[in-house]
Amino acid sequence: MPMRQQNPQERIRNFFEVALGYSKEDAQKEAERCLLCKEPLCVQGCPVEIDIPAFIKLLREDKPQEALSKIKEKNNLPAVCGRVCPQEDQCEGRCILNKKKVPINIGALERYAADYGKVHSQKGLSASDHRLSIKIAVVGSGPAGLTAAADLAKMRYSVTLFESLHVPGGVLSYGIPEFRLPKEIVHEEIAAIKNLGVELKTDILIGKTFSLVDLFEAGYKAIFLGLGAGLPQFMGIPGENLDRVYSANEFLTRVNLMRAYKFPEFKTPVSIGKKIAVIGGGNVAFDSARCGARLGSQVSIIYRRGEAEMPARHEEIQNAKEEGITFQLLTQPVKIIGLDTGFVSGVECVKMQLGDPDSSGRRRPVAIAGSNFVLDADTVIIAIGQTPNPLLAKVTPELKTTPRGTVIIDKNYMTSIHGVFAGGDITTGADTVIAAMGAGKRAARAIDHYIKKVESRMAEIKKTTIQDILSLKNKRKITMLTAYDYPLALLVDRAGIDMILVGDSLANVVLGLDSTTKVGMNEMLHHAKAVSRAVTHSLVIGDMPYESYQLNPGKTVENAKRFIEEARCDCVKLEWFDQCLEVTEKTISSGVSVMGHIGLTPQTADKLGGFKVQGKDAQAAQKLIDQARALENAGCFAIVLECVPDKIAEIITQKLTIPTIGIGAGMSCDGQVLVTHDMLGLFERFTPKFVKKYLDLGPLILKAIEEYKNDVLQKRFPGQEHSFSIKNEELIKLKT
Amino acid sequence: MFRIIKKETMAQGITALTITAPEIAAKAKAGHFVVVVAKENSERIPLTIANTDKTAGDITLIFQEVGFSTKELGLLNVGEHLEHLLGPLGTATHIENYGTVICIGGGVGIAEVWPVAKAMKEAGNRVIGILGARSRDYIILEDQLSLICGELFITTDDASYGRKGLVTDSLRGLLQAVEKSTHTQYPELVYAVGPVVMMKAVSELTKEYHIKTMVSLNPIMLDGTGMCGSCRVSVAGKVMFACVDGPEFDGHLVDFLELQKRLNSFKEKEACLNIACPRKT
Ligand SMILES: Cc1cc2nc3c(=O)[nH]c(=O)nc-3n(C[C@H](O)[C@H](O)[C@H](O)COP(=O)(O)OP(=O)(O)OC[C@H]3O[C@@H](n4cnc5c(N)ncnc54)[C@H](O)[C@@H]3O)c2cc1C
Ligand SMILES: Cc1cc2nc3c(=O)[nH]c(=O)nc-3n(C[C@H](O)[C@H](O)[C@H](O)COP(=O)(O)OP(=O)(O)OC[C@H]3O[C@@H](n4cnc5c(N)ncnc54)[C@H](O)[C@@H]3O)c2cc1C
Ligand code: SF4
Ligand code: FES
Repeated sequence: MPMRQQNPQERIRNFFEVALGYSKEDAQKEAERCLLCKEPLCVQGCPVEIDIPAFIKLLREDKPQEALSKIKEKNNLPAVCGRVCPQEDQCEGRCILNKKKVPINIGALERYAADYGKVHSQKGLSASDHRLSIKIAVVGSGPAGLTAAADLAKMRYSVTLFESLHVPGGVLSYGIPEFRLPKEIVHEEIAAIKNLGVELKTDILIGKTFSLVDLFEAGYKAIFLGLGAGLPQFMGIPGENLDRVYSANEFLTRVNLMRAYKFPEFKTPVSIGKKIAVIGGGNVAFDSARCGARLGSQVSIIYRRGEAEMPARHEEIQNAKEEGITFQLLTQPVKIIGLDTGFVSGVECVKMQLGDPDSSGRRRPVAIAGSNFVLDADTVIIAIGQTPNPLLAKVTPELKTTPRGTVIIDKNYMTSIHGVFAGGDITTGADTVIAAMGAGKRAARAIDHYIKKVESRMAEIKKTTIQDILSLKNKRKITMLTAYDYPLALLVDRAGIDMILVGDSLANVVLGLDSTTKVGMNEMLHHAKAVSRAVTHSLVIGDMPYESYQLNPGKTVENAKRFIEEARCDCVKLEWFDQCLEVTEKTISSGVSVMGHIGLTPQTADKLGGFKVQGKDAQAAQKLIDQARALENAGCFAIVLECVPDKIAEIITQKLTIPTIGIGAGMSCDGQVLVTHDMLGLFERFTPKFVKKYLDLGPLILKAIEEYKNDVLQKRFPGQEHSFSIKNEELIKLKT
Repeated sequence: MFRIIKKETMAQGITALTITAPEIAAKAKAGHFVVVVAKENSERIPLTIANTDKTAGDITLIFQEVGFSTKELGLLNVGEHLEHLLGPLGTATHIENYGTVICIGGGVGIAEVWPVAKAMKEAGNRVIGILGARSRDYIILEDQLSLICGELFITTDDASYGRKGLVTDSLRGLLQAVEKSTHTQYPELVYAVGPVVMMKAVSELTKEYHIKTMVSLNPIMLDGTGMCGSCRVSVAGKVMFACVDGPEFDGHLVDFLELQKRLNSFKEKEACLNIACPRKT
């Protein structure tokens, strides 16, 4: 059932909406016709897959508010889409009843639900609701930008919407005329989006006022570009710069955005004569033509193919005919003729005939030689298409575009610039409102994924603190490895290991000494500095060498501070010894965090009777438990348990509130530590039982070195590719 | 909303407004312009950024009241606001050390040439100024420009100040002097802003001498961002959008006649607005 309309004689004199919409009775009658198909074809035709039968059923039950909510699950702008979507090509075109040419008027029902359901204010977030501190910039406030902004705001991002014009809405505001889409509806939709907490900033041209770099520097974590296709195309024929020759964009912007039809109440003029020729056959041409008619002129549309080939909506073509607009079909302008004053006086055209189909499948129009004629016209509006405005791409060479000027995106809507997304007409060229909205929606989801990925990576590379280590107890296992130099520390850090120990095992595995007690402060600091330079994530622990505290308890604090201040370590580790509690307390009260170390303490291994598992009998085990408790009380943030029976380690781990880090102490400890050289198989001399070799690097390196040796001996290295050359003539000069 | 913090009458019908607009000020360079919407129902009109104070975050616009919109703007006072302000727009002037640059301003074009002269001077050029106006009262910014220009020549139509005649008379005098002299040189660049006829005359003269000449065009604009084509001009036979490709172009390649005609597009309509103007003149 068609909607009621203003009658043509009347509407041609005003800019009020042409289609008047359904009354409640109309809507129910139309809803009754719906078969509520189990496998609805209409839904397949809808680019955003609105559950059409479900909302129609709600309308039948006279529940327009619920019907609207149902639509809004998929479509943020139903009042707009109900009016401007090409339903005949989408849902209505697919409707099963269209087989008998009586499809359900889904557009009219969607519009009815939107107009009657809107009293019901939209639930959801509001501006005052809690937002994430993550800022996202959406540029361009057409359907693509509005949808992306709304969806991102619903995901609680802090969204700023930038628009270059002084009025938001994109084509909805500047292009589509009042009589098809009342601006009040657009403004209501925009108000609803602002209510979601989106901050709207008009009068900002991205590329001029701010560059994309400026936006990132201002803290925006991702940018969505919904800049549309705003660059008007001209034909390149003589006379196009005469007065009263307009691009459709200029004409429509003057009439719609600047409200020239209300001149002089609104101050922007549009100058037209009595006869307007509009060139083109799409929606843009028809909107221009129908505006022209309403401003009191006779309008003819010049189109190079036939009526059946016109890309405009069928409804618009019908409306235009009723409004007295005439068509010059199969006609191509070749020249615009002007007066001496500079104003237009006519359009020279040539007749066309349809030839073979072109790449788009439509038959290609070909000029009929000698068929030239002059069409009387004093105003010309060129509506042959728009492409994306090249302004931003011009100042942002990194933003890759196609030869047609559309911005290139990947399947996740990301442009050639990391963190910059795009969708809508800017990527597709002039398309439809619903296609732009769909792109905005999917891009919002892609941005959400992107942000989450970036954020989690950020969390990983965040510097680990003592607090982080403490909070990991009973949450997840803690990882710790040693490192003594820059390249290895880089790898350990990158792998996301929680703590790196610059251990006194330096003595054995790197310096070739036979006891850890033989390494001193200078060597330790030297290597700790190299490790600190490489680390961004892990907590770095400086291992206090024997001489720095056991030999000189009075110097403990001073030496601990050198690890922090000179080597940029985060804390130090002390092994248990007689005066351990005393020096630990002193060190901690001087502001340096301390990790304890009990069980097999290599620095005092001799006293313990060699490298042996500790705490094997009840008495020895009790001693270990007491030591651990005492260290916790002294203020240690973690304790290493070395070579302790797993059950004892388990008991200690349970009794302590601080984490235990085991090495040869079973799986119950809160974390594990190994000497990296051991687990990589780099240190061959001795491998304790508790080490798992993840890699046998030693033999691999050996093999490589032997190969090198043989290559050199047999003159296989270096080859040409490893050598530098000099020009032959220079060489000759040198020789002579 | 953009607050007006200073208003100054430069000459009868020529007003300077200083406006707080830190984001625009931060980016503004010589040759940039803004689009102004004075009130909610107003037109969008382009005006050159005549001066910028980057530390204070404000810009100064100097305009001549020629029709409704500029008169409406002239009625605004300190403390009031411009409804909308967009910028900086256009391609900034290419500034380099050319050697000698002659900067020519006609009428309110003096305000538009001021920032360019300043930037040329800062780049190390010797700047010669030629200012022209109807009469003495309409010569603006003379003090400011005399600080910048090594030599400053003034012409008035009615001989009330400086030399009687047009800016081209002074320019011709300078060029002829070089022609006769054995030790002086032609300027490397002539930069002219003013009425279309003036820019056309300057360009024709410098063409005879093969001196590179830039002019800043003032076609009718609407959005100022390259989406309407209202501002299109023909340069070397190619259609350019002055708001993004310009507004400066090589004066020897511009179709001034077409520009002049296109400026008449809305005359009829504008006349009807001027009757409704808030301050009937
Ligand atoms: C006259 C006309 C009639 C149409 N009729 C229909 C119809 O009936 N049905 C239909 O489905 N489709 C119709 N279309 C097509 C539809 O309007 C577009 O496909 C849709 O609007 C595209 O949406 P968008 O968000 O990608 O871009 P736009 O709607 O074009 O919005 C882009 C916005 O970005 C702003 N912008 C651009 N560059 C910048 C920048 N550098 N900085 C800040 N802001 C910027 C622009 O000012 C604009 O507001 C019509 C188009 C026109 C022109
Ligand atoms: C890039 C650019 C920078 C400009 N900078 C300045 C400036 O710094 N100071 C200044 O005073 N003016 C400047 N102008 C001109 C200014 O924009 C116009 O004077 C103004 O738009 C006229 O509007 P109106 O409603 O007051 O006059 P209208 O009633 O619209 O027009 C009055 C008369 O001015 C002519 N006119 C209309 N529009 C323009 C125009 N854009 N340029 C020239 N004449 C026009 C008309 O043909 C008419 O004869 C600039 C123009 C451009 C394009
Ligand atoms: S609108 Fe058409 S296709 Fe969709 S459910 Fe109703 S009858 Fe079936
Ligand atoms: S003013 Fe619209 S394109 Fe230049």
